[in-house]
Amino acid sequence: MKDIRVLLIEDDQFLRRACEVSLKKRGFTVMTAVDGEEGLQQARTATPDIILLDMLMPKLSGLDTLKRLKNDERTQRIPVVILSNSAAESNIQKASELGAAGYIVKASISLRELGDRVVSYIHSADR
Amino acid sequence: MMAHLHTSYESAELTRPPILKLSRAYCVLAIGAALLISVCFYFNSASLGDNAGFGRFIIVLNWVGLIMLVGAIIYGFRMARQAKVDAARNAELLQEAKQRTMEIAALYDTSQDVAVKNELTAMLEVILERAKTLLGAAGCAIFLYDKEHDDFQIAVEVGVGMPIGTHLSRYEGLAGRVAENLGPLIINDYQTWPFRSKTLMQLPIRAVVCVPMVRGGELIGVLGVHEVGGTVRTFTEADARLLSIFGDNAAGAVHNARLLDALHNSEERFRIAAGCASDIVYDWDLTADRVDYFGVLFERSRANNTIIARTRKEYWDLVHPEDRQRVQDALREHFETGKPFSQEYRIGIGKGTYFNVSDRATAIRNQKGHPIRLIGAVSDITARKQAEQMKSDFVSFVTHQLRTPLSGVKWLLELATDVIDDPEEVKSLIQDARTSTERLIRLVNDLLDVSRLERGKLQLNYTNINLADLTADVVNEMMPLITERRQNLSTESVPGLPPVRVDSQMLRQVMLNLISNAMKYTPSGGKIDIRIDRKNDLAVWSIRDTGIGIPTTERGKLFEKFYRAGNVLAVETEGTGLGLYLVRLIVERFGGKVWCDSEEGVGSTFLFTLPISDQRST
Repeated sequence: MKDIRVLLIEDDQFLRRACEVSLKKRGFTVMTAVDGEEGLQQARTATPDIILLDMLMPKLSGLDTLKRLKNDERTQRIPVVILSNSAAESNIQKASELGAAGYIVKASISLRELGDRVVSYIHSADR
Repeated sequence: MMAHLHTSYESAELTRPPILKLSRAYCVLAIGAALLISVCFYFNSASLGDNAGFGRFIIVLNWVGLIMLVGAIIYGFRMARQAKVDAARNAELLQEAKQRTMEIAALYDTSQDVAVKNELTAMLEVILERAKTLLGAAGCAIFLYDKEHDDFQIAVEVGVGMPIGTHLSRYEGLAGRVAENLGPLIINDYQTWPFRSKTLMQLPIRAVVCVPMVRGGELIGVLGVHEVGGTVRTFTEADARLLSIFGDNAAGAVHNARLLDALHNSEERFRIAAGCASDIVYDWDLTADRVDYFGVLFERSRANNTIIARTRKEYWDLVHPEDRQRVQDALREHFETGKPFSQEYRIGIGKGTYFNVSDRATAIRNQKGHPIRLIGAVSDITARKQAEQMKSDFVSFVTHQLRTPLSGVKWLLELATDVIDDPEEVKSLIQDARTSTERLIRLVNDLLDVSRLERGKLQLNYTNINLADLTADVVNEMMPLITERRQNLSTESVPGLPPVRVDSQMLRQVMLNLISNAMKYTPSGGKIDIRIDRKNDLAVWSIRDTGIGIPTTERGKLFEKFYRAGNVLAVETEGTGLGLYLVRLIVERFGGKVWCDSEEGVGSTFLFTLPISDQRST
């Protein structure tokens, strides 16, 4: 199994820490960013296999970040999974319209499940 | 009706009896005179000898005949003249009668007009005046039947001064009799008639003819014509027949006026109700395809030059394209199956602006069940929709803000079980989980405080507080954080400020919120100044920061629930949008005010006032 490189864009320090540690323990390479702008930069330079993107963030919101990722040919092929605590229908719909590969509500998933999802998203993107 | 009236008047024997009497007298005189003169000539021509006595008798007879002849001639002339006058008068009366009949008929025919209602009394008076004149009587009156009280009321009267408005028992007097038999009644010696009304017995009525006023088999009233004492006039069957025509007319007029009155009343009621409602009430005539509107909202729309649809096509054009089909389908279903029509949709008021409306309507159907009119009410529910939106925004925002620390706690603890063999890591993860929990508790407390303050349920403990002391307390508490952020905080206070009477715990929360806001939005190394001042009977507490400031357009909304300024999200996303709202609720509870002065990019000043408590009264 090849090395999986995950970019985690999350502003909440506790959530970021929990995710990062958990995914690393699973054997993934994890890069982190604390807001959308930093996330965009990392995505362009490091070209991860998958991006986990928070919605409500300072500077650049998750949706705006997603839009820019999809408009940039360097990053548009990277599957983006929204990781949010908002389950608002309008957000889910917008994310899907903008080309998100998935939408996960943080509170409804365990770290173990998150890791499983990351693997399955990458597999379905490979096919 | 018209034709019937005309023939009746033409066949009416108007004032013929006096003329007949005259001509009979004239014939007797003329024939008598002719006979006497003939006899005289016969005896003159025949030789009567010298029977002088008989001759003198003949001469006397001759003179008598001549005098009679002259008398007959004079009488004839007078009679001819009288006949001419009578004929002229009759022609005039007949003409007038025809004229009036036409007028009445015209009024009757046009009685759809609401104006007729007000004309009823005047119209009945015209009918009475004509009846009186045509029957050559002294007076005329209408007793209207009052269904509700089951009695009569003297409604209109000409001639003898009957007490208008007086109620008479249903079975009293002539009117009672006529109503009972529903036929005409003639009493030519009223004063001795044993059943006459007690109310009217004082009146000098001598002869009277009464007819019932009936319309569609229903008793409307009684019409009477009367003659007063001092005249010898009596009434006949012919008079009664003539009067019946007036009775029919009057009944028709009253009936129509009542119908119109009822119609007018219900329409008036409808308009008043529609006018009171803050809605638009509409009435769509389906056959003519015309929509009429009533109501305050409509008047307002009209004043604002909002587009007003007059046909259904125009109306549908105003309905938001996304809603149109659904509303049309619902309306069709209502027409076809009678299923209640109640829809919410958006309606354009021009320039791409839409109102949210709720529309409830009911079709009025003909005997075959086909809808012919649609009456409905449209209410502006834009405010309600906005409130609903706010509520749903609130729920999703709070959900989000609650879930974030909750999922933090959940993940951190999940992770801690995974690294159980590394006690240092476990300890650190648990510490983070605890911090997340505290954030959660703060949020829940804020929500509870807001809820209690909004409902006025919070128990407050009022004491006299020295503002400078309390401020120093709060600043001390926050000093470690301020030092950590390398911010400079100064406090300045006007000396000798009297205390304020507040709940110190709540006021402490106000200060904590305002100071931590100032810190949050002021960059590292920035300056924060707190001032405590006095202005008349008010203590003024203010805090000035050198933070990002607040856009002018958003300043007024800052103290609203869940409001977060647009440029705040760029700095942090943990705020609940409750802090400043809570500050406002508390300060206002203490009788003060809170507001903000700010320049975007330079900084903000938040100020609140509190009434200075009067020492002598405490």
